[in-house]
Amino acid sequence: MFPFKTRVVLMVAISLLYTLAELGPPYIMKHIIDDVLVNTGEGITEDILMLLYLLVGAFAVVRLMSYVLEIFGQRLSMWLGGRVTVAIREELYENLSRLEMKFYNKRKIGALISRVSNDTESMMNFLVDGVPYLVTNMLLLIGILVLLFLTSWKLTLLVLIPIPLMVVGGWFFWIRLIRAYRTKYYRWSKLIGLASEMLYSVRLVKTFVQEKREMHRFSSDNEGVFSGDYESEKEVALFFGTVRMLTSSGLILVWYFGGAEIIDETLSLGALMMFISYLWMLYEPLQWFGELNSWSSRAMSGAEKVFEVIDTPAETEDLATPITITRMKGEVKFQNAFFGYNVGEFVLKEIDLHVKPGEMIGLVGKSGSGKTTMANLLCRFYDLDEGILSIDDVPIREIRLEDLRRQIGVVLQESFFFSGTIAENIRYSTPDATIEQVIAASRTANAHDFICGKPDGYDTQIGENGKGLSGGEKQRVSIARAILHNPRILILDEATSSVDSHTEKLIQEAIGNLVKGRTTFAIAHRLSTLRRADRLVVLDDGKIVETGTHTELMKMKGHFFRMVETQRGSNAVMAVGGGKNDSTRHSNGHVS
Amino acid sequence: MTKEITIGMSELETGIENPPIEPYLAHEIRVYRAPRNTVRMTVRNERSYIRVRPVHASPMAHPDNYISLLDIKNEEVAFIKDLKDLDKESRRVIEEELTRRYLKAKIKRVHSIQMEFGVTYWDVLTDRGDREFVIRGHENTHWATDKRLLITDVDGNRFEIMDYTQLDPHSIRLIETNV
Repeated sequence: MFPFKTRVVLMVAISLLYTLAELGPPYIMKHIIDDVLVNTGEGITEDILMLLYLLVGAFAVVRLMSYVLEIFGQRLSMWLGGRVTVAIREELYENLSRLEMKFYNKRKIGALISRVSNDTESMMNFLVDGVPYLVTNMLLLIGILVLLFLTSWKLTLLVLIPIPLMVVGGWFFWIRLIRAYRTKYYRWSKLIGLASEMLYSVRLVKTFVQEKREMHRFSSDNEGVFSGDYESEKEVALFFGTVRMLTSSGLILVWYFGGAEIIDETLSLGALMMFISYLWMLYEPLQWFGELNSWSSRAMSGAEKVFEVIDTPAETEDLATPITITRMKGEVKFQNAFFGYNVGEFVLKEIDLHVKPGEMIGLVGKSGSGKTTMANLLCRFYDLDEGILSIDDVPIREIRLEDLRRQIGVVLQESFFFSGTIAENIRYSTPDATIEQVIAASRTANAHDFICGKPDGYDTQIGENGKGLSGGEKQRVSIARAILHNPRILILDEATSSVDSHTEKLIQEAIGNLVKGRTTFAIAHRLSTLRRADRLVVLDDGKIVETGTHTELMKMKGHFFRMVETQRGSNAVMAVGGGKNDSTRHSNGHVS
Repeated sequence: MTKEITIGMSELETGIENPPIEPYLAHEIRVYRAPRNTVRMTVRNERSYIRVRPVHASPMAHPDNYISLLDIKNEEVAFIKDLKDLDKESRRVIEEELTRRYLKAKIKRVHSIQMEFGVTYWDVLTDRGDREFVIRGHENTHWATDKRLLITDVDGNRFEIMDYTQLDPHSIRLIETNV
């Protein structure tokens, strides 16, 4: 709030003036009734007329002040609430991008999107509308109570009878309501998560004809949202009905006892009318405080979820004095390394590996053997549980994260793109790169020609999934991005998608250009890429079981030999069965 | 045709296993029509490409630079950083071809812009008459400068507003609200 201090002070001042202006009309009305209207029985004098003009004039001025102050106050509160929410949303978004991958493994993306949009929205509603009303109405309440006591302390005590009930009832209501809202928001975020999951994988749903099943899941969660909504609104209806009943009982008492006081001539008509006007003004904020409960419950439940993310520490943070490495040589050492995604379940065990700068390592193993985990550890998406992982003899935990990631390039099996142009996607890691550098990188990645062949060239818009690009094109754009990034250590999670033999050749050439002179870890599926590797590391069940060159491993006739034999067998089956990309598979499957 | 690349990325130029084939540059080529409707390219009067196709590498962000000449196999044979580097005749031929290929209707007035489900429906008056077209979200509108707007509709048709501030107030308001 500190940056907005002046405006906060201004808002409090406006609220104060507004309160005074709001208190004015009933007081003026009292004088119009008692000093002007009641006095007309003795004839209309000029003094009475003048008093009437003055009081009506004062009434108009006060109303005008109130009007102007209300507009300024609302605008100011909108600005302040909006700015605070923007700051919170930014902090939330920033923290989301800094959180460790483990955080995302356990959460649904749709639910997190809901935190950025819906939960911050409900916080904003409270800050924009709730807080200013709270301030204004608190001031108004105090002012009204003072004036009521001054007018008739007996009547005031009578009308205050229902208030303790309202406060205690409101408190219990608040506790019940926050529970109901928690359930409601949990169900909402579940529904949003489900819907976004379906939309992201709409192709999969259609392919397996699962539309009905998805609809059924949606309907069931949608019903859950309805019952959550209904339960919370039921509470709201009960509370407000009760509050209205209590306020009207207060009014009945005032009319009865106030009327009696007028008859006894202990209270003037103007004073009673003023009292009743103030009473309406008193009950209005009191009723509103009830609403404030539901408002704040919603906001509190939203805030709880927003601050859960903001307060989650980014687990892979830099040390207090991280080591800066501006240019790595690219020497990587795993020493007795252990790691697991869940406590006690190691997916990598006793890993010892020394990789020389510029060496290309092919990581080989069955699915789930730990290849991708090794790559994730190198990027420091996770920290080791035991052992040491070092780069250029500096433990990876001690290297400044920015330096580390700036010098590691990743070409993933599944190419990721952001919505934008091809040029923007290529220069994603190097935003300052000129179009000439982008073109140079694309040429090296054998991507330039096909990009120029598109009507909008480098300005071609591609969606989040590289919409409009074929599998081979996506891979080459990814390689161009990695070339432009110019990393010292490269992780190549090679794609398995089938491409025609010409594209395969272009991709292999591009990969050849990319890996030259960089320490490379290739999670290879194609044997053609493995043959390029200086050394192959065979993983099985999280352990390194074989290391050596392609020829050495073939001679050993161990795990790698069996994998090659299996692949050779499946290629033969494909050839006999007339697989779609026979030529590609034969060329890839060659083992000397 | 096997020189190393020379633009930018000096670090990349060393040790590349399969150096990309570098295209010819503007000062090495001559572009002309022969026969009349075919664009031909000759390299230092030594060899010819009988049919080439000039394309913009970056028609939106750099509409006046970076022209690529593709051969019949859609492979780049020449790359022109700036048309000014060409001789007068070559420049004229390429400019004609680019104008024909990247035909852009100039928008004179925007009647209406309506958004629905991430798609925007435009109703405009262009230098070729009234047009209605559809664009997908904001993806296909591009501000070339603060005032110059380039639009590509879902069918690949191109539209251009050279300076939106020079349009009528109604059109300005619609553009400022929707683009």
